Amino acid sequence: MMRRTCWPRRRFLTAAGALAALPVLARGSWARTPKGDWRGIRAMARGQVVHFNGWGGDQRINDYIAWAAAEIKAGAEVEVRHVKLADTAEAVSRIIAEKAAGRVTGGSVDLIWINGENFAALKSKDLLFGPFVELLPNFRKVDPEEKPTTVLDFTVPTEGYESPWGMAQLVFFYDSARVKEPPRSMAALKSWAEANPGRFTYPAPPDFLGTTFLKQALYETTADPTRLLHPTGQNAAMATAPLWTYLDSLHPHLWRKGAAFPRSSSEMRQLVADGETDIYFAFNPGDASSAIAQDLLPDTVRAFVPSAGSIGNTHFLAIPFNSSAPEGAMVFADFLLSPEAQARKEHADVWGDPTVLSMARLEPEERKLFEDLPRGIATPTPEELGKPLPEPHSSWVPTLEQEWLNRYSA
Amino acid sequence: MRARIAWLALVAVPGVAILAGLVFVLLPAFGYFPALGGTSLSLQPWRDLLAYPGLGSAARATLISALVAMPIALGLALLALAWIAPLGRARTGLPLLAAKFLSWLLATPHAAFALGLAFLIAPSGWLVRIAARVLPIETPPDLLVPHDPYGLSLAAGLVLKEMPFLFFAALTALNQLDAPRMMAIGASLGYQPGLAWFKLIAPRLYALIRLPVYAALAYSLSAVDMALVLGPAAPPTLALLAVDLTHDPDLARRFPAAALALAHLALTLMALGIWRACELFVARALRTLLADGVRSPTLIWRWSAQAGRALAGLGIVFGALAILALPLWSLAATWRFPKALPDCCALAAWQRALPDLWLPFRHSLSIALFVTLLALIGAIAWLQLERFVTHRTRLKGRTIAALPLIVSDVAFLMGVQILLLGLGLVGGWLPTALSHTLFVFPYVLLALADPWARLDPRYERSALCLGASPLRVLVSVRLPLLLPALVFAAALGCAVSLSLYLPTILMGGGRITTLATEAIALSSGGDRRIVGVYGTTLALVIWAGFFAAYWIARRAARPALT
Repeated sequence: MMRRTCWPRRRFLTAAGALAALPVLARGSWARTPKGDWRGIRAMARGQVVHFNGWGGDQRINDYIAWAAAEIKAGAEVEVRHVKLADTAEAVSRIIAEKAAGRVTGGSVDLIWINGENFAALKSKDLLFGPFVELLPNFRKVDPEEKPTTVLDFTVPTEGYESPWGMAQLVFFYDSARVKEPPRSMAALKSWAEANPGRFTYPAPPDFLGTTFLKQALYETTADPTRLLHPTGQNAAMATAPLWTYLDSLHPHLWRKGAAFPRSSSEMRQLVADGETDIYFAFNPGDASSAIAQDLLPDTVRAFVPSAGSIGNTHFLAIPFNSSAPEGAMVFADFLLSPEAQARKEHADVWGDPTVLSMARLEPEERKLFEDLPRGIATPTPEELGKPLPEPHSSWVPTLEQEWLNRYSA
Repeated sequence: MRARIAWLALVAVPGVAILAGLVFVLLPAFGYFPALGGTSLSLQPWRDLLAYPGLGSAARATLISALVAMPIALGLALLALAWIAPLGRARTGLPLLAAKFLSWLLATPHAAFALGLAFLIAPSGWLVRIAARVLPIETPPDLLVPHDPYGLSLAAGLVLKEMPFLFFAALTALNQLDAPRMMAIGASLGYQPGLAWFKLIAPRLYALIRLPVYAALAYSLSAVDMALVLGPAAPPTLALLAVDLTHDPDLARRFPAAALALAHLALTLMALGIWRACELFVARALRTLLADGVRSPTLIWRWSAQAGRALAGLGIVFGALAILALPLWSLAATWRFPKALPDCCALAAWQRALPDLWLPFRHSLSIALFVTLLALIGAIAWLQLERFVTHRTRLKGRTIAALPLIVSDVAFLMGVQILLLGLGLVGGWLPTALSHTLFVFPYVLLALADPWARLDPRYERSALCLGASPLRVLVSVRLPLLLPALVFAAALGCAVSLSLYLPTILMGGGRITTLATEAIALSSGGDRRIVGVYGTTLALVIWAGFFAAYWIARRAARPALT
């Protein structure tokens, strides 16, 4: 059985004079670790309510989460409530705020969909529950050797503090009714934009996909791409200078002449659907196929991948240190790792998000679930996808975002 | 004496809440908040804030959108009133129809309306799609609307939403003036009716609706939901920027966020000051115009009336299409550019959204009902106790009740949020509901005050003579007689609560999702059909509330008053 560790807790609930009395909490290790075996965890999970905080801007994903919530409710009596976020940072800031306020149990976030700098922020501040991943029975079907990003989140080792959920790789999509030959490099994209003014744009950073576009452009323009795998350190400006030169010359040819940017990736896709632009990109290779299946995009949309390769990563589920239902969260995370849930997620009509599981580690009948999946008309083949470029070290993110804001948002 | 103290205690509630909020935004704005590691006063938050890219443009867009929208909204509201109900009662025929449309527009929640309008005016939106039927438009024009950097699309949305609000505020106030007599005097002096209305009634009417006008101006400066959908994107408006900063994972950002909230308060006060200065200036400029003795409209009068009418007509078309857009989307199978109408009709979006709709629907409704009940009880107690204080004190009390609508809500709500954070409390249902009450209460109070004062005192006097206790008189005489006003106030209270966005976001602690917040969260792209479902549901709930109130009031009015 799991036992909850106890910490000294300070309460300051009297409103009067609270301000003067508010102490800065002593630093210390807050993260809780799971104890006991899986059966005990499942027993404790029964009846728990899990507030699953995740980006909620895509109805197809929301529908998938709703399906999974119904399954786990029926299968394990765990009630999952999807708290739809406009930006994952909202939930991260809430967790940090709760820590600062001394709320070490009964936090508002029980499970969070996360990766990259958000994970790095929580992990470095010791605000995660775990390590728990090794306890999940379905994690044995993941092969970190085959898919290194399942245990390396933007070069930061996950160390069991997050459970892989899906694979992502930057893929571009174009409307073949309007674009004859898609631009397969940043240089080609610029000449294409010059010839087709106003027909391309990207989400404004700090939207994660907007930031990823900056990273991809950085990879293709910087002199020494291996430099990006290490912390920014000194001379970061030298590595990024060609990127800003590139963007300075690209922006005048963008949608709205670069004076405005869509706020999110789905807004960018909406622009293609509305005929305002011709090219968009997503982290999910099946994005366009499933959007076509749901009548969100015309069926003339097709995929392409930059010839230099594109950035790939994994997105994860993590449990905050003060989760009010860590057992329920683990049970739900394990269900989402199951071949059944992973295969459904990869279906082009559902979400089209590639699995983190290793086919070699599945039973034949489990493998068949994946082999039977139809590949959508706008989903690139594994050969087209190629080997993903690793994410730059997460310290590049704030550098890029801040500089972008300074340059293009005023 | 006891009654007066009880009344003062009631008045103190909104006053103290706002004061607490402002104190807890003031301290962190100057670097002091131990729970977040700020132990001494400093100007660092302001330095951080000033270093934020695009702060100036954000302030500019905020101010421009509000100061462009408000005069137009006010002018249109007065023009509409002069045409629809110059004497306080809607004229029959087309004016009555227009009044009904305006009440429809008023009842449409801000979020849903803004989403509809955004779809309408976008370059690939409905207007261009309709135009594409006759014009050879194959690709949408590359125009920067909505989200234009000066906030003019936002201003358009604010005009359309504030105009009906000011119209109904003015209509209520008009009943306090003896309009028919004044118009008769004007006519006997040979003034043409339209001109008489603007020369004799409008100036006195304005003095009566100053509070709603200030509230509308303050709202325009802090409307986060409308700014998200229609306002500039990078940088956004000040209010939106403040909310964004509180979502930053770096908690140290709360200090500049508090500074920004305080700056927003200063901006609100500045805008009110500018407005007040304009009032004085316009009053002086108009004085000669009002007393020039001209009895029939000159060419300029006629032209401006024509221009106003054209603008009002345009507003009606835009408003109607914006309201229609969301229900239409919710029923669309697909709706691609440049089609003027969707491939109708499919219930697929409703079927898909329904399971997810339940929780926000429950939150929205439970909060709205609780808050409205609380506000109604408060307002009844307030009005019952108010008779023990002087008229001047009474007016001061009502101004304090209206403060949440005038003071920058961004500022004091953020203060309350920081206070909660300091107390180790996360938001939730109760903080959300209590913060809603602050905004719902003034509307309920104002809606109830007028009928309350106008009830014939002889009913109560007779009951007292028959030996009934004051409480019994209230419960069995006054309240039943005021049932129509009570249900209308309740419907209004529910409508306000259901539309609130910012308090829910700041006080909900991420656990309270309402129809309004979900509609906005989903609107960041995704699926317009699903956004249509949420927006339509929200509007339907509010409309249903007003319809029920109307129905109850009609049934109740007959036996009691005839």
